[in-house]
Amino acid sequence: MFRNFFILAVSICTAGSLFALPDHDEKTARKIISGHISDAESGESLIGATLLVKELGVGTVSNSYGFYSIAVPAGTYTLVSSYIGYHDFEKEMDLSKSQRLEIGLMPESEELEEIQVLGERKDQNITQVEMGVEKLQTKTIKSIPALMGEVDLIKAIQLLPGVHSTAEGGSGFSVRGGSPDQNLILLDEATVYNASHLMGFFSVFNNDAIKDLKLYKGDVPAQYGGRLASLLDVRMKDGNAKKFEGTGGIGTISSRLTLEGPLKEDQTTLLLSGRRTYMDLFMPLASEEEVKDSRLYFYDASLKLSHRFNENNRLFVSAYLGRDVMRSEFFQIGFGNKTLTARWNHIFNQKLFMNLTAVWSRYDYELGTPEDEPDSWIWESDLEDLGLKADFGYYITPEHSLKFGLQSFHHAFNPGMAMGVGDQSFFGEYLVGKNYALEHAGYLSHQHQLGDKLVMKYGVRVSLFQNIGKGTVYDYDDNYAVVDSTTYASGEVYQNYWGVEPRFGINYLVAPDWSIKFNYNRSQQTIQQASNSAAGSPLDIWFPASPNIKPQLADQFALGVFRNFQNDWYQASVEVYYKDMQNTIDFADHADLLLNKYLEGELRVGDSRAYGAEFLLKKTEGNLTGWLGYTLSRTERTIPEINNGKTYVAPFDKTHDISTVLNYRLNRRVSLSANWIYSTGQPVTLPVQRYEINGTVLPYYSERNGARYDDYHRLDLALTLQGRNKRNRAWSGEWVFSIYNAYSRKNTWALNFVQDTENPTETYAEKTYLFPIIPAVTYNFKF
Amino acid sequence: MKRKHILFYLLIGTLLFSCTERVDFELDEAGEPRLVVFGEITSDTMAHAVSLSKSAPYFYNQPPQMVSDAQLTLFDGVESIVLSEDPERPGVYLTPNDYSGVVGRSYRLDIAGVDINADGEAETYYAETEMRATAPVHGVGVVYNASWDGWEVGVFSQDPSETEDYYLFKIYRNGVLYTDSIHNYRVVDDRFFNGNEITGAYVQYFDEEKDEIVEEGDTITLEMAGITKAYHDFIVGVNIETGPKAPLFSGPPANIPGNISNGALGFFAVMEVARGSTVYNGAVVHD
Repeated sequence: MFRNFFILAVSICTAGSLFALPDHDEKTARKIISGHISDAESGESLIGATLLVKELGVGTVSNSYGFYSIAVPAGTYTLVSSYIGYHDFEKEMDLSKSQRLEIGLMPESEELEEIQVLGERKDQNITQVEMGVEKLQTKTIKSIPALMGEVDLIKAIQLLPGVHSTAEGGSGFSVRGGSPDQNLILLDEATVYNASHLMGFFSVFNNDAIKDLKLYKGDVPAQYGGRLASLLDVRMKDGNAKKFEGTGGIGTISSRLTLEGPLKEDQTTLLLSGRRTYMDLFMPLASEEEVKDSRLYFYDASLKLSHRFNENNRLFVSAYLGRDVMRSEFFQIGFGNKTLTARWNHIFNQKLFMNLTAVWSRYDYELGTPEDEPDSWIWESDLEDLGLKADFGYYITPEHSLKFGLQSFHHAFNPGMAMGVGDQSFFGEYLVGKNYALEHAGYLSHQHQLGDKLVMKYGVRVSLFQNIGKGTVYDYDDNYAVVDSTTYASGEVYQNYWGVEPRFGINYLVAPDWSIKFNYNRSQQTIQQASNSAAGSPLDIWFPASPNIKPQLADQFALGVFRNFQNDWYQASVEVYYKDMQNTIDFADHADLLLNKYLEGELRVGDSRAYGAEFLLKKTEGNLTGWLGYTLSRTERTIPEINNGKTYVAPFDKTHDISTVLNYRLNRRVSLSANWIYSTGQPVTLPVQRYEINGTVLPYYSERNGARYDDYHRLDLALTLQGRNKRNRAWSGEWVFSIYNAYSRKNTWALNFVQDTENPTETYAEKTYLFPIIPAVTYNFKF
Repeated sequence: MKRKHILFYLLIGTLLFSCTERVDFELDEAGEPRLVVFGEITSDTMAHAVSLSKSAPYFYNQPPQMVSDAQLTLFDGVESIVLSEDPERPGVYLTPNDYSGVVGRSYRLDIAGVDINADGEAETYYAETEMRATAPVHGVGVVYNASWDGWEVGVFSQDPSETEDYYLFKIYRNGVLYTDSIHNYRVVDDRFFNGNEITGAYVQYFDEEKDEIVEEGDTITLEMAGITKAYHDFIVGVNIETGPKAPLFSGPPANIPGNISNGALGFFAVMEVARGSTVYNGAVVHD
C-alpha cells in the first residue's frame, strides 16, 4: 500500500516538473489568460462556468475547482464569462502578455430578473462534447416538491430521463436500466457506499451544504471508473469567503442548519452543516411501553474548510458523517457513512493545473439484541477505502487540452462478523472473513477542437485491480458446493485484473443552435453489492472481484441530437444508447447473501444489454421553468442458470418513463411547482400454478419477471411563499407547503399472494402501497 | 433464524406508513399440471405416509386433486418395500406399520403408474435422499414473551462440532401436532453455533394473535429432527414463499427447490427425530 503511494507520489512530482517547464509562450506569441471563476457575493467557486473570447469565438469552461485557462494569440479581446443564474461578466483586455484574471459573477437576484429582457446564451448543452450528462443546481432541486418536505437531490435525479427510482419513495436509482450498485456516488471525491437514510426513504445529502451535482449517464470522464452505469459527482459548498451567513430549515420530520463564513476574509472559509430528524423525540409521549423506549432517527453533519495560501495553492478539507439509529427494547441497529477528503489545488503555471486528493471513506453497520438472553448476539460489517489521486489539467491551446492522472485505492472489506454476547448466549463466533484489494488506475484524455464545428474527446483509462491477502478463497464445483479453500498471506497479491477502458466522444456543431454528438465508452466494475431486492437494505454488503468473480464490463454507444430554440430558452435533446454488458451478476434462487462465507457460490453470471431513447425538453428561463422527459428503454439479462437460460427483463427495466417537472413563478414572492411521473410498472414474477403440501398452498412460477405491476403514476405539488425582503434586515424566510402523491394513487410497493386463513383453499393477491397523500410544511431561513 | 428477526424489525419501520388491499390479477396460462409429492419418513416405527396430488392453476381455490392407483416402492440400500394406498385417504400411500428409517442409509422412492399430463402414457418419478442423525433433546423450555404476545419454545441440546447440521423443529401441545402445516415448520443450520451447547434458544412458537393458546399445565413436546441440506433449503424456500415480501430485502420469487425427478414438485425426506417435553408453568418474560 505505502509502496504504491510512494510510487504514485514520485510519478506525480515527475509529471509536474515535466509540464512545469518554462513557458515558451512569450516566443510563440500565445498569451494565456487564466484564473478562477466564482460567485462575486460569496466567493464560492463556480464549476462549469464558461469563458468566451468574443473576437475569436473560442472558449473554455471552469473545472471542478473553478479554475480556467485559455491560450490565445496576443491581442486585445473582449472576454465574456457566464453561468446559469448569474449575470454575464464582460471585460476588454489587452493580452500583450499572459495574465491572471479572477472573475466574480453576480448572481441574478429576484428583482433584477424581472426587468431582464433576454438572457445571454446558455448553450453549453450544444457546444460541449460531453453527452448523457445532467447537471442540476441546488436551486432547482429545492423547488421540486419533496416527500415530507425533505429536499432530496437523489429524488430530483430520479426525475431526469434515463433515471428512475428503484422502489416507491426510495433513494436507490437506476440509470439506463443498471442496478443501483452500478452508480458511483462521490461526495467531494469520496465514495458514498450507501446513499440512503431511514430504509431508503431519504438520501444522505443535505441540500444546504451542496454546491453542485452532475450525473454522467454514460460518458463518464476517463478520470473516473469502477462502475458500469453512472457517476454522480456531488460537490460540497466551499463556504462564503466574504461574510458569515446561515441557512436552515424546520421541516416536518427534520431540521437543519448550515453556517458558513470566512475565518480570514478571502483566505480561509469554513462551512458546517447538520441535520437531524426528530420524530423519535415524540416517542416518550407514546402510551405504549415498547414505543416509549424506542428510538428511530438519523442525522448527518458535514464540514468543509478551504484555505487559499496564495493564487497558486489552495487546500480543501471536507468531512461527512451520517448515521441512522433504530433502537427498541429488544433490538438495535446503527448504520452510516463517514468520508474525509483533503485536496490540494496547485497551479504549476498558467496552463497546468493539478489537484492532489487524499480520501478516506467508510460504511459500517452494527446490530444486536440486549445481553444476557440465551440467544443474545451482535453483528457487524464494514467497508473502508483509503486512496490517493493526482489529477492534472493541461490547457495547451484553446484547441487542445489534456487531462491525465494517477490514482491508487486500498479497500478493506469486512463482510460480516456475528457472535453471541454474554455468558448465556449459545451462539459462537461466525466470521465471514475479511478481504482486501488494491485498485490502481492511470488515465489520459485529450480534448481536441478541429475547426469551429468539430470537437473530439478521446482518452483511455488503464486500471489494475488486485486482490491481496490476507484472505481466503473458496473453490466451488459445478453445483456451487465448496470443494476446497486457499488462504493467502498478508500482503500477497493473489489475483490481478487489468482493464483498458477507451473513452471517445465527438461533437459536430451543425449550426450555432444545434449539434450532433456520439460517444463510446468502456467501463469495468470490480466492486459490487450483494443485493437482489428492489429497494435494497442497509445490510447489503459490497464484495470485490476475485479469482471466482470476473470484473463486470460494459460497452456503451450513444448518439444524440441537441437543439436549442428561442435564444436557448428552450433546450431539446434526443439521445439513443446501446449498452452491452458482460459478466453481469445475478443471484441464485432464494440466495443467502448475508453472513455467508460462501457468498460467491450464490452468484450466477451471464450477460446483459440495455438500449433506449431519451427525449428531453427543458425551459431554463422565464417565469415558467422545468422540463419534460420521456424515456423508452429495455434492459435484459441472459444468465444460463436463471429462468432456464431464457432471456428475461432486468429488475429495473421500465418500458415507458415520463417525468414532468414544472416551476411557475407567480410573482416575486410566490411560486408553484409540480411534478408528475408516469412509468410502466416494475417487472414481477407471478405464480401460474399452485400446489398444496400439508394444507399449505405453495406457488409455482413459470417465468422470471414475466409480468409487471400496475403502471406507476404520481403528482406532487408545492407552494413556496417568500417572506418580505427588507433591505436592512439580514433575515429572510420562506414557507414551503408540499403535497406528495396529490391524488393519492395507490402505487404498488409490494405484491403478495396470501392464503386465506378463514378459508385455506382460497388464495388471493394483496398489494401493499406506501404513502397515500402526504402533506408537509417546511420553513426555510437565511441570515 | 437470526436474520429473519432483523428483517422483521426493518419491516416494522416501513410498515408504519403502509396499507394493503386485495387486488384482482390476471395470471398467465397455467400450463400442464405437475405431480406433487410429499412424504417424511422418520426413525419412529410406524406407517409413514407419502401423498401424491396434482398442481392446479393458481386461483383454482379448491382442495387439490389427489393421485390414486400409483405404484410406490422405497429402497433403503438393504431392503425394498412397497407402499400401499390408504383406503380411507385417496392419494396417501403408507409404509408397513413396522417400518422405521435407519441413520446413515440412503433412500430411493420410485413412483410409477401415474399419468399426470393425461397423454395416455404413464410417467415415472423418483426421489433420492439419506437419513441424517439429529442432536439429542436434553430439555425443553416454554415461556410467554409479552413483548410480542406469544409462547416461545426453547431447546437444550448439544450440536456436534465435526458436522454441518440442519435441524427441523415441530411442536405438539398435549400430544397433538401443532405445527401441522408445512409453513409452520422451523429449520435452522448450525452456522452460528456449530459444536456448541444449546441452552434454551427459542426455536418454535405459539402465536397468541393467531389463537394458538398455551395454558398453564399443558404439556409441550418439541420434536427435533436431523435433516439434509436439501430439505433445509426446501423448508427455507417454503418459508420465504409463504412469508410477506417487501422490496427492501426480498429477492425475486422463485420455485421451491424439491428433490423429485421429472419436473414433479414437493419433497421426499427421511430424518432421525428426538423429542423432549415440558409442562408449561405459566412463566412470562418481558412483562
